[in-house]
Amino acid sequence: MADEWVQQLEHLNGRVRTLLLDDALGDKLHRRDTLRRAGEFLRLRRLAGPELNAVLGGGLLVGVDGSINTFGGQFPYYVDLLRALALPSSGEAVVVKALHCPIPPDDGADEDTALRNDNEIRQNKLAELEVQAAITAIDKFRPKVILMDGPLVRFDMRAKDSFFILCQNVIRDGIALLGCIENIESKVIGTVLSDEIPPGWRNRYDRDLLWDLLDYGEALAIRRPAKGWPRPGADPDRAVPICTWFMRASLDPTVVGLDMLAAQTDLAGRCVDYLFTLSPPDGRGIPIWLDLVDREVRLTDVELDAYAQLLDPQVRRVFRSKRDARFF
Amino acid sequence: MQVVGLTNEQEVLVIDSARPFRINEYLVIDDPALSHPKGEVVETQSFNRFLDFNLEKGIVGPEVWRALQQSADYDISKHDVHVAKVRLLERVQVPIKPGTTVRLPAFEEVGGLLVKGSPDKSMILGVIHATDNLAPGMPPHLHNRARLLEDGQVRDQNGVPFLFDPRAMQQYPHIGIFGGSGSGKSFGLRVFLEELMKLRIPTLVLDPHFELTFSEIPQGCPTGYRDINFDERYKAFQVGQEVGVNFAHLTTRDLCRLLDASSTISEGMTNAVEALHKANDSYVSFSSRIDTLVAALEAGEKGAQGRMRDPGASGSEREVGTDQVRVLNEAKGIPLSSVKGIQWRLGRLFRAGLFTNDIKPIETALRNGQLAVVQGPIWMLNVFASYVVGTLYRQRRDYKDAQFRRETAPYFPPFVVVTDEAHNFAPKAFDAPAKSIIKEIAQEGRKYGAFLILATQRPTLLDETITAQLNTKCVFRTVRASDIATIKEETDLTQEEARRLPFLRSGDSFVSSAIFGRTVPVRIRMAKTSSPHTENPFDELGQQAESEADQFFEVVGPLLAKYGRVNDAQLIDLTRDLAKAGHSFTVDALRNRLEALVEAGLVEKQTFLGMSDYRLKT
Repeated sequence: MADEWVQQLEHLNGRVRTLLLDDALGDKLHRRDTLRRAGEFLRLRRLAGPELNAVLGGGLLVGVDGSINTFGGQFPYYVDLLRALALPSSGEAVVVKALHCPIPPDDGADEDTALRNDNEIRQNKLAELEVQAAITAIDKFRPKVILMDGPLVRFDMRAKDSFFILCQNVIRDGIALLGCIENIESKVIGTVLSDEIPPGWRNRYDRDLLWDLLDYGEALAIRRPAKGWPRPGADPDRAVPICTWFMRASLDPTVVGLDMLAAQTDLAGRCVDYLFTLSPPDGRGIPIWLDLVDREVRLTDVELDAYAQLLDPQVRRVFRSKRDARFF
Repeated sequence: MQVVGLTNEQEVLVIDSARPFRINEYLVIDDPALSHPKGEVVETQSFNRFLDFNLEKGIVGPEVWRALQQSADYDISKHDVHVAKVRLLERVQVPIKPGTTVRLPAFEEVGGLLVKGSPDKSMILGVIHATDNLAPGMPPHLHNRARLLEDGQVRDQNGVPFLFDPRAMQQYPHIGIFGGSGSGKSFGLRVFLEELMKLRIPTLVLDPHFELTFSEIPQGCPTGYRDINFDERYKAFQVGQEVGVNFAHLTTRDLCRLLDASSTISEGMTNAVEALHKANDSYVSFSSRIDTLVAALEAGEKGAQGRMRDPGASGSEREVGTDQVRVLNEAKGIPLSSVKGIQWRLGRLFRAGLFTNDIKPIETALRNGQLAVVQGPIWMLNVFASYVVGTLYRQRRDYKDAQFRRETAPYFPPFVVVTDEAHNFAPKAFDAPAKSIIKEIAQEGRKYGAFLILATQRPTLLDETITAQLNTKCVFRTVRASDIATIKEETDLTQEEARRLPFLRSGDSFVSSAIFGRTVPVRIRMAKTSSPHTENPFDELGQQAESEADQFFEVVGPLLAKYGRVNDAQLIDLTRDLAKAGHSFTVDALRNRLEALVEAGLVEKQTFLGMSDYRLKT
């Protein structure tokens, strides 16, 4: 076949296999032995009956997620509608909103840097909104469990001050705070093992090390925070060490991560069975509540369009992308 | 509730998150500019965006939702969205505005569309579907008018009663009742008849199934529900026993028709009847004339004349000869085969008892405002129907015509003719004895006050001219595609309604009536009477066998007691004793009977070396 892609893709097969699959990181038994040095393998249970009732004990579960809905075209001609939602299992959701538009762009910086900076800014804003939503939800609902979408370290990096308050509050009120990570981009295992790390594991992502290793309904509980706390440059007094657990809550061989405060590993650790119970076996391995929150927080096209209509026609034209005028 | 999506002047989509819509429910679209148009739900759907059907994404199993509900009291069904396709009862000028609020109507807003007539003067046939929301706002006289039978349970009226005012038939005459077996059609017909009796409307019922009597009380009928003593309001007659044809009143044409009904007659036979039948002929005079003619034709003209003049014959024999000659002269050129054909057909009708009585009892019943049920096998009923319906209709017509001409004529009341299996009486494409008179009433009856209620499970086989005249059609479950096609053609049922026809519950029907101007879905009410054939024939078999066994045991028991025990060799003695008591059995038959008693646990059997031994069980 004359198609270059065919050859290149075949080649890629081999490369990925030798790097990640086919026991490239050691066979399963060996990997499990090594990982036992990092944490503890747990068998998760689907809760039912009184045990299931006891988790929340009549209290509430809150899920927090954020969304960025954009209309417009190329940088800097766009408008972001940022929204964070704290959805309680019963009662009116907490919604926090903000708007972001990079006009006028940073002087001085070149186009690429400006774009990169702008992306940082909007991500920081969004993280801030999510933490604010969570803090408000605590005041409003006094929930038993707060489930954030994504790693907790993200809030620690992007919304440091507010996140510190959130952590103080959950510890004060005995609320389990967990971050659920669908796409693991962390290297927690590597830093936890540090000196004991086998050759070839260095710089490998957690998801590669754990790929197809955990059985369905199994978790790896790592009770030590990853090395590097407090993070360089951060105020050591306000450090919030975070532990990451991994669980396989669906038939899919990819694991998901569960972040919790190191100070709460007992409290939050007790919730893992519950989160497993709420995860559909055929799904992506995350609790269904986060799916619901994700669905609720996104703006529909109709809503986004309705908001866009609030701009004057001339102003709206500034943001119109040529893309939108394509025929196909 | 609000209007969403693409709308037009006739149909809109309505969504609601609070409660699912129900098919046939009425809704008001709150648009003052269009003066609040009303619509009926014709299709319903419900949707939950979290329970989407997506094979690629996988499905969240019920156990997860249950866990969420149990632990956090979160009910996913609060995301249910209910969608209804609503058809407006009347077209509006411009498409309905999307976003318009929609609400349930109050009774006053739709009452006029649903209730036409007062319950005391109307037939109360059932309850209109999905009108339970309207019931609280109904005026008191519409409450508690009907009960429903659902899944074997008697239920109170839970909606607006469906009233049919028979007076509306003057403008929109005749009713058709269509539906397959088990559809509730027979019950529907029964309810129609009960209501006709309630209103004391003179009615003639042709009942080929011997089931339309009204003395039995249905199982589980609540006390007080049967508020009329139907025994006084109907009379059942069997053709050939209580009622028959008065031969002297037959016209030649009627006679031909009767003979034809007995078995198809040829043109030659028709000519023969025309030549031989005389006004005021009695059965005896006509049949003896036929017999004489047959004998004469067999003897030949010469033979007859010879007999007439035979000096050696007795006077009466000569008289016979004279008669034969006279008859031969009257019936010149009629072949023997035709006369023999008439003779045979006439004999068949006579043997069936058709000529032994007349229809006086039926006339009396109708004059008394009663329901006259005429029962008989279908061929006979067909013959009789042509005569009786024709006769009654003529009396009514004569009375009305005389009235128009300002002359006096004996009074005969307006009446309704009802028949089940109507396609047998008025079939499409071929002739049947009663067809022409039914057709005549279908086309002209209303001006004389004669109306039809025709029930059939095969509307496709019913004469089209007649079907077209049925201004009200009550359609029950129908499965056959050709019948559904006919119903679609002959009614204003919509596509959606026609699609639902094969799946209607027993007792649910669509009433498509010119009186209402559209189709009304009705659950027919519980009947206050029941068919006499409610016993299952297979239960009957079992009961029969049991009672036979009991009777036999009563006879054989004392004998067994006397014998102590009976072995195979003694069975013959037992048959003898039984014969003395007037019961004769062969040894084998006796053995069978005893085995049945062993099975029933009344007699004990022991077997030793292949020999059996019976004795009474102690």
